Formats: sequence, structure tokens, C-alpha cells
Amino acid sequence: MVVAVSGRQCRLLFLGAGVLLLAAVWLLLPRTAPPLYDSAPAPADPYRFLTSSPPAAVAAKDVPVTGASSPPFIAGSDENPPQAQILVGAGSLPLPPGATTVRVTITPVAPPPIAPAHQRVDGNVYRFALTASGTPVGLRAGAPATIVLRGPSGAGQATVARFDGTGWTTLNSTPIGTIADTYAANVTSLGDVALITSPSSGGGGGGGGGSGATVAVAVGAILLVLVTAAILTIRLARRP
Amino acid sequence: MSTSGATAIRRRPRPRGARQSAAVSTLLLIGVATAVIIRIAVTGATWSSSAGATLLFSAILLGLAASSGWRPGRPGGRALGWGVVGAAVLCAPPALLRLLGAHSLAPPPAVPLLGWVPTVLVVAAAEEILLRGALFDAVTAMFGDAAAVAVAAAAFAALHVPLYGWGAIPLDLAAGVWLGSLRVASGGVAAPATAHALADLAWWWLR
Repeated sequence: MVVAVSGRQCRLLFLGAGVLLLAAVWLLLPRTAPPLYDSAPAPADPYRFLTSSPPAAVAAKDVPVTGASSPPFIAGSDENPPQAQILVGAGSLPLPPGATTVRVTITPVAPPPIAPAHQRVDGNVYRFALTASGTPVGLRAGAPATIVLRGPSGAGQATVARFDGTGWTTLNSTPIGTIADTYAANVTSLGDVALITSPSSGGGGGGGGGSGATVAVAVGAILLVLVTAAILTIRLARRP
Repeated sequence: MSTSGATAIRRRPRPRGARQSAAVSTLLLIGVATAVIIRIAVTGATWSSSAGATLLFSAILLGLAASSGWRPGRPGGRALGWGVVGAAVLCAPPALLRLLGAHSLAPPPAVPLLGWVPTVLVVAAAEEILLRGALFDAVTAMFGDAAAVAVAAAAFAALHVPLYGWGAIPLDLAAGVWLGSLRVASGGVAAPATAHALADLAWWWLR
């Protein structure tokens, strides 16, 4: 059915729909993106070391407990992008009776005297700690948390590792595709965590490089030429 | 689009040139997807912060728009006014959240603002010229304004997935619909481009 409306009504309809949709998304959905709507380059802050000025940020976040089980939460340091983040799922913490808040702290600390074997710590060591109404809590068995660490730029391939007081244990780490020098790993217990790399590694992070990227650019360029040629052909065919 | 008198939200397809418009729309969408892939391939994991790749991406979009025959009109004060209003609508929710302290926001980035601004303006203008200009014109010619708003918004949301992930789709889709409605209301690209550019610049303070 075709609905006849005036031009003014038509414009108002579109504008109203746009505003309503925006309002609905902001009100109803969790904020998962920065408040910009474009792929404008988001410049990353330079890496902040524990001793640099300004120093690496300490993060502390209080999460209210509303039910019997612990809430899900994400916390991260204030840098852009954050240098250290933790993601904890719902029910991952054994809460003491009467707990009303969970506090997560992420503190950059001096590296321990023991270095990882044949590797070096890349960036800061971060101490992750959780308390529930003041009582230290750990993670439930079978409920790992995810830690995301960003390292200094150009460090090359890195791995998330945890220091248990006597030595370093490397964790199964995954690079975060869209943020350079950033890796995620699941942990079953908290404590001191850092990125580690081999001493020879460096300068390999960041750039696309590689034959795969070159092929992609070449194929893309050819496709663009073909697309442009096709559009021009269609335009020429339109002319009387 | 009609600016006065009776019109219809759903327009009848125009017999002449309809197929060509559909073909041009499809080709432009393929071009946008290719531009995104090239952008990612050029810079890999750092693509979000690479000004060079962003400018290359913008140049590809502008080239595609030019090849489709899109030419800039003369933006009037009314269109720019629509753009400012549009930016205010886009920025109002995060600004309110910040004022109310509903979420903590990071301090401004430690990079020069003046070096960032031109890149933001170029990529915002390029995206609008391609999506709300060339693509919008091609889709409108066959399916009308509503379809053009929808297609341009979908493309707008899709091209941001590599940067923000799938979770950003609803927000970018809604923003795309709003920018498309600005295009319909103002009759040109100047309004959505102004709104888009101002909202992007506001990120510096609102993120």
C-alpha cells in the first residue's frame, strides 16, 4: 500500500525514526562502542610505564552485588586503549555471606626479581585483586576470568604470563585483532600478570606486512579498478 | 526528493535506468567492502590508529563516488544548520551520561589534537559523500528514500565492524538512520557530513 504524505511529513517521519532509534539504542542496549559513530582513527596513548610521567594508571572499580551470585563485570585501566583489563563472568566469585560489593583493583607493580626463562617482561607487571565487601576472593574452580594486556608498541609477538611467587607460567594467549600489541588470556587465579616476549623479538608488531596482506591489497586494487570501470561503463551506457 | 506537495514514502520503480541504478548501488557496496579490506590489509592490527590508511580509505571512497557521477552541490546555511542539529542529537546521549556520571570516561588522548582533526574531517566527509551521496542517490532512484536510508545505514554499520566489533552494530545502525534522515530532510550531503564530522570531533571530549 502506498501512503501519501506531504514532503514535510515525510521529512519529519524520517527524522523522528532516526531520533527514536538512537534513543532506543542508547537507553536499552549496553554501551559497547565509544560515543562516536565513525571509523575515524582512534589514536592510542603512548604506553605508560610504572616509572614514566604520567605513570601507568591504577584501576579500581566497585561492582554492586544484587543477588546471591557475583555479578559479571569488566574493569580496565584509564589509558586509551586500556593497558590492563579484566573480564569476569557472572557467578565466578565465591562471595562471603552478606557481601554487597565486589571491588576489583588493577595495580601496576615493580617486576619481581625472577625473570621469565629465556624471555623478558614487556611493559608493566599488573597485580589483579578482587575483594568482596573487604574480604579477598579468588575465582571459582571452572570459572576463569579473562585478562587483556596491551604492551609497548612494536614489541612483536608476546604472551600473557602469570607470576606465582616462584616463577612465571605462560598462558594460552590470543592477540586482539583490532588493537595493536594487545593480548588476551584466561586465568584461573589472579595475582601478578604481564606480557612477556623473547629478547630477540621486537619491531614485528603492528604493521600488516606479510605476503597475505600484499595479496589482499593487490586483489583489492584490481577489484576496485574493475568496479570503477563497471560503474563508468554503466554511466556511459545511460547517455542517449 | 520532493520538498513540497504530496509525495509517497514508497515510490514506484522507475522503468528507465532502474537496473543501472541497482547495478551501480551493488558496485558501490562492493567498492566499500573492498576499501575496508584494503585498509585492514595495509596496516594490520594498527589500522584503527593509522592516519595513512584512513586517508587511503577516504580516497578510495571519494574515487568511487566520483566514478558514479556524484558531484558536490553548494551547501547552504540551512543544510549546515541541519548538520549542527544532527551532531547535537548524536552527541546528546554520551554528553548526558558523562554529565550524570553514569559511566567513567578516559581523559583526552595524549596525542596532538591538531594532527588528528584533519583526518577525522576527511574520513567523515568521504564516508558521507559515498554513503549518503553516491550510494543514496543510486538506491533512491530505484527504491525511494526509505530504502536509501536503510541501505546506507546498513553499509555504515557494516564498515565499522572491523573497528568496533559486532556489538557496535546497533549504535552505528541507528546513527546511520539518523544521518540518512538528515540527508532526506536537508536534501543534500552537507547536513549529514557536518553532523558526522562534528560528532566524530566530539569523541575527543566525550569518549
